[in-house]
Amino acid sequence: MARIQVHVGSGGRGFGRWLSALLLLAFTGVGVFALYAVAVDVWRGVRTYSWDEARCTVVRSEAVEEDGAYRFAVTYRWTRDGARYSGSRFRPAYEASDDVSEPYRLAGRYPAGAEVRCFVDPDRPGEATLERYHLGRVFLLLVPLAFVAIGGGGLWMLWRLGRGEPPLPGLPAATGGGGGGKTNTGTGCMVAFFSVFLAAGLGLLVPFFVLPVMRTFEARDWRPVPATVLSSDVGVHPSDEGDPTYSVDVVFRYELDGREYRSGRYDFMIGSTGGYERKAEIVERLPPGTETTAWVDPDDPASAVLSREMRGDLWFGLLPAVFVVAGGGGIAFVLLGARRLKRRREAGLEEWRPEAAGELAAGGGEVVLEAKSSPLGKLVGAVVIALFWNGIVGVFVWKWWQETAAGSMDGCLTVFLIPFVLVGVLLLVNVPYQVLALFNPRPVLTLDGGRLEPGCRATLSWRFRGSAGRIRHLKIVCRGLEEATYRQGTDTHTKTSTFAEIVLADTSLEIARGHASLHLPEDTMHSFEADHNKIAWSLHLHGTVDRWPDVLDEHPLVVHPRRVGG
Amino acid sequence: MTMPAVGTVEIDEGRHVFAPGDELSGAVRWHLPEDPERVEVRLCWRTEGRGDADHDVVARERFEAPGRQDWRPFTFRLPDGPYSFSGSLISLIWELELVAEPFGALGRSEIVVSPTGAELRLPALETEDEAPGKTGKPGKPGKAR
Repeated sequence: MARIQVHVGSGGRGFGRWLSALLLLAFTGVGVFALYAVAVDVWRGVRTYSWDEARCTVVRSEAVEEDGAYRFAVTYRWTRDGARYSGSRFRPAYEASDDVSEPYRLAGRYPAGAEVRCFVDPDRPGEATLERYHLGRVFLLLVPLAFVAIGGGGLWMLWRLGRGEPPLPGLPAATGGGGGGKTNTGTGCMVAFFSVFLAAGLGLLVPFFVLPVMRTFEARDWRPVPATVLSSDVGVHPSDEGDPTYSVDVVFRYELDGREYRSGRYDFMIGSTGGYERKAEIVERLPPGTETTAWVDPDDPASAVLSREMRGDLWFGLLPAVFVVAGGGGIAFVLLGARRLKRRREAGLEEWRPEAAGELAAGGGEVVLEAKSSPLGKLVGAVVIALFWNGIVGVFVWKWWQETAAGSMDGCLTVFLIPFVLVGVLLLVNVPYQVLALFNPRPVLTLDGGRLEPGCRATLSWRFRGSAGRIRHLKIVCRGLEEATYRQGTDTHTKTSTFAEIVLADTSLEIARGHASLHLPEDTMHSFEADHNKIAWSLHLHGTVDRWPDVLDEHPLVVHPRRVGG
Repeated sequence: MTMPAVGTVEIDEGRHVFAPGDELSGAVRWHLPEDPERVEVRLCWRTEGRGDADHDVVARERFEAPGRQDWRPFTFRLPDGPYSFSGSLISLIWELELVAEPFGALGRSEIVVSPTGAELRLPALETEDEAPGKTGKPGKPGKAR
């Protein structure tokens, strides 16, 4: 739809455009610069895949600690064209980490004195590496690429807007902005929005819950070996949200097949959680020098834990599942909605927009009306909303429970939480209600009489799939609605007003099937939809069922403006 | 003292009520302090009322070589819709607008586009806010403007 700014002079608009262009240019520039830096790093790494395979002799191999980080230090020698060389590169872009077991694992894989495979640069035989570049790092390019895409895309759109402004004399402005394109963009945006939830949920759920649970089960076959605790402490991790979180920081040594290993893993949980006391109890049981038992992976002797149990804190890692369900459910809901919208548009049932008048003029004949939302859709929506709401509220309830259990109940938090918890309970109650509604008879509404226009007559027929005998009373109303959306501060509100109400059926007798005449007034408004204002027509069906959720359905209608000359 | 930019939109026979599909013709006049970059007359509609405003330029006619002081005739064919209407929340107003760059809008003339010969009036049977439980009561039919 064309947008115009009547009173804005070209000067002000031009300044805004230039400012936007400069900002986008800066954004793009930063992206290009970072892209170059990352690309050089990636290129140097990827080049190792063209290096020649050779044999190297490991001279030194050990795990070293530097400033709290652990690194695998290696030195090896090789011969090339009669010349002897030595090097210490393990892998391009290799960095020290806080995982103490990793350098011991590598030291076990590349023991001193062993002859191992290495890769030598054919152009510079003095350059070699024990392992090739980690190809997963290629994805680092996506970060600066996103900057370039956003900045470049913004500049492109700005350029398009600038080009598209001068219209041809006498022709309608904005011919390309039909409802379909807008809907596709909206669907894409919504999918992108929910994808963020899905990705964030999976990104947290997998490492914090799925992997620890899987490893806990795998560890049932691990070998017990004697171990000595080298250090143990409760790790304190400051949090932006207030109270810090805690972790069990323990390092222990053990030997397997004559080789020494070290591990910093108490159990399979990663990260840190609230609750100091439990961690302190564990650390108290494991002072430095304690002789204990470690459980070692027989396939990877560098992997070991002191506890194979699932701690209660592990269930905390299940919370991101709420975001996975909300994100996945949201994507499914949006895509199904878009498919239904497409079908509605193909059937000429979409709201009338001025620019779509020609497209919709072809509608007519007998049309089976589609409900605005199916019972299954309502159930999915109810589940997603209930999970989303209660997931977020659940975090606070969990915190409240921890504090209450520790004897320090926060009265303010308790009062604050009550309304949120009540809403959560109502949302949960709505789920079984929607489940029961799944078993209701489903109405099938058919409209005969061609294109709906003000002043026209059409015949509405109805019947039910399923047991219509359970419906005690049936009411079908055709309603015309004004719908205005407005922003107030940062909130968006919608207000509706009914301007037409035509009762088509109000019966306790003719329920299973029947028909009625729909006569639209001459002086009423046709369907209309703009960005913030809408005239919507729809059929509302209400079937009263005793001791069960009622049958409630809304079927959108399209009332076209009268054909000119028709 | 600089002369102000002024302009008018006149519709043939002083007509202001039209049916969809009608031909609308008239003339625009303007008087500007300096030569304009471009001058055009636009056929557009806008909404007023409770919701944020929407507007759309349905058609426009740009004039070749516009002078500082000039007049030009124009003709538009009105589309099927939307109709001019006024409800309790929304009003839709059609208008012709004379725009000269860089001076902005110089003049407007509202028209009614309706198959009944008058702006449609939508009564308010029941109003409702987005938030549940805030149902208003049957109100008097009134204009959103």
